[in-house]
Amino acid sequence: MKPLSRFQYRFKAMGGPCSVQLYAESENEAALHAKCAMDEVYRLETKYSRYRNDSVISEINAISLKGGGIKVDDETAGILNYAATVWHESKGLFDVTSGVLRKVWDFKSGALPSQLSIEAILPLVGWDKLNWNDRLLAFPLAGIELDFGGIVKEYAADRAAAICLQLGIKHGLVELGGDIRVIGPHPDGSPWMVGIRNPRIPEQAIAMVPLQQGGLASSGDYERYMVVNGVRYCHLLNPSTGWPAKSLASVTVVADQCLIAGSATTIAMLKGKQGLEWLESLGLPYLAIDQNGVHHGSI
Amino acid sequence: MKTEKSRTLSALTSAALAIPAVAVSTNATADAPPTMTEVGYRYSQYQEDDLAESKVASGSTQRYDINIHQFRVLTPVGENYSVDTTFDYETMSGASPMGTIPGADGDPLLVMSGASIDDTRMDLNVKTTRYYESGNASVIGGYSTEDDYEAFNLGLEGEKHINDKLTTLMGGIGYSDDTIEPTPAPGRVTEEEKYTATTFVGIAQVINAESVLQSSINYAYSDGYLSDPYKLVDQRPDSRSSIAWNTRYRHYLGSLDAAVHADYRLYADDWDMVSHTIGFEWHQNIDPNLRVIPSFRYYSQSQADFYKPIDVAGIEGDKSSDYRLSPFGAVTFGLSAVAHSYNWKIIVSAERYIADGDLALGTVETEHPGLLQYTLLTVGFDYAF
Amino acid sequence: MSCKFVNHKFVSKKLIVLPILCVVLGATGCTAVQPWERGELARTEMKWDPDPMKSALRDHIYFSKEGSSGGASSGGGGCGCN
Repeated sequence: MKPLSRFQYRFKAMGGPCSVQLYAESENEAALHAKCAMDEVYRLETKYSRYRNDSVISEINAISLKGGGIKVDDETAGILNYAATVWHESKGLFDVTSGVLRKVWDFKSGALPSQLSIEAILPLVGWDKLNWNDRLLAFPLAGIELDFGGIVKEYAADRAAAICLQLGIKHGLVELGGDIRVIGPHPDGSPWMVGIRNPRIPEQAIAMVPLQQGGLASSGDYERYMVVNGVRYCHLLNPSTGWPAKSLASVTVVADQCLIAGSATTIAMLKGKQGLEWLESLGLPYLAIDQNGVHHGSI
Repeated sequence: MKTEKSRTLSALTSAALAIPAVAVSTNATADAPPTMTEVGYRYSQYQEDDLAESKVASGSTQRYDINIHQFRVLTPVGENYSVDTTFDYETMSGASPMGTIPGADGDPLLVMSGASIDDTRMDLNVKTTRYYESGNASVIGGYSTEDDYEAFNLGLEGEKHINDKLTTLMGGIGYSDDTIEPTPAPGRVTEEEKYTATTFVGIAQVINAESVLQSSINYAYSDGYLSDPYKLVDQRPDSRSSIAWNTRYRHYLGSLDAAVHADYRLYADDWDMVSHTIGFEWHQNIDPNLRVIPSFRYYSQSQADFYKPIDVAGIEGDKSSDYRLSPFGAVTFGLSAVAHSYNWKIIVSAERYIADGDLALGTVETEHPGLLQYTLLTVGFDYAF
Repeated sequence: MSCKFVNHKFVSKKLIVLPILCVVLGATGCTAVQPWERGELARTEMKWDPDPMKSALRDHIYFSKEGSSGGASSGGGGCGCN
């Protein structure tokens, strides 16, 4: 067997910088396999993009506007089942219908929305307000919007890594804007060293996590936010109040799947004061940094 | 408390793992060379039925037996190229019709060659393809040889995808130069040549998520020595011009997990021959590693205008009693089984062909006594690495 | 090329319309299939030619044993088959 060389392919997808790193015997093999992984990311980006009229999400939201129903494909059904599970396990905090709240929250404006505008849109938020049953998605309440923003990127990282494994790549890493899934450790067995951002100096790493396998994801109040009257308001919105989560500055979780790691970080951030306790009993390795810069967790 | 929250992790994990892995399609979305090198081998045994004694005036009643070995290597080269090489090695033996004479009731009888003809044929073909963002282009070269025959051929082909890769335009040109040096016999030509130029254009369209349709037209022009030197009485025009219109349809039936193939070809040439060919294949998946493919083909051709069922020596003009220029119909029944996994495939198949004047679309007044029946058996494998 | 094709009893002028009709029908009666919906079309059994070695042999046999020829390719070598 020829010695393996390391190759890295950078690309832009899912709204940010991405990369596929892998070990292969030749440039030819590496390029071809990386292309398959990248194509899978593009495929999911196109399929679930809010910004494309022809995406499955747009099709679903168009049906919702009419108060109708739609039968979805197998993959979308699987994702909706996952969304239902995570909504249930997070006691309603992780809700794929909360995307509509972005209509009232404009983080670039520097101005808070009025309580009235939030209350006007809250009736459209709530997974329990739609019917998801046996491949049929129905909207008895018109105007609910689905947004797979907290799911698709992490799922795409898992899928891209799975494809590389299927094609025979044993060592590598997929990174989609901070969401990471390991294909396999370095050929000598050593883990990938993943940097965790300092929530107050996001260009700097505050910790390095060794990752032999599995996925890693982070959520923080530094990703999209505004500061009004000295108070920070971030993009993670609580679906029952319509207001941003307040408590932890950032959470990083390691899990077998990047999808689960991502859901765990989002839920922990939304849990506010109970976030740390919830993370502790979830049983996954994590690093949470609170507003005072204190580190908590097993990583 | 801890058990309840670990239950959360289990619930999430089950739901995450339950998202079905979508089949990754590299064919339908991008034009790319194959990712792995593939090798294939097939061994086939072709056996024509013996002739009925009543149809043979003289010579052997045995017909052709052919053993065919096919080899193939398809390999990616660099990021944008692939090379597809095939090599065929055939050994054949048997007797062959030399002409026809009238029998007692006026119907033609075959004059067969006596001794068995033994021949070896080899064919090498190389196709190099360059892949682009929305299409590909190929250069093809081939060489083929038999004891009395040699041919070179060259071709260029291309495909262009448009309309979000739902429509494909295809075209190509080809040229071939054939030389025949028949085994010597008094009065027989010693060396002759034939040139053939071909061109085709076609279009393929994705109809919906389960169906695709392709239609193409192929034009061929041959010039030179087109007759059969081994026949007692055979003189054909020194050119032949033909058009073939091919249409193919593929449809996937999700509820049955089967794909149906339907092909139709209409052929016409300036020897006045017209033929219709219809083929069906049913690709049935039994389980993820086994597919069974029954198939059926119907063929009907009309006669060439200079075809004469009974040879008459000494008359002027073009003439031939070759059964391949006679009017007839034929059916082929086939069955294949393919056992496969992601990088290998084993194939076993059997086919039975029967040609008969009664199977033709029009009325055949005099059926040629040399119409064929054969059985073809094939075993083989493909392997990718 | 003579007009013999067109007036033959098996080929009427009307048949020439068919290829054009086919293409027009094909192009207009279609749904816009999104890239993620093309999974079934990528199946081996949905290819135009799932087994190129098998079709090559069949084409060669039919070319040698029948009077017609011509497919959507630029052709391979002929043979002096009898």
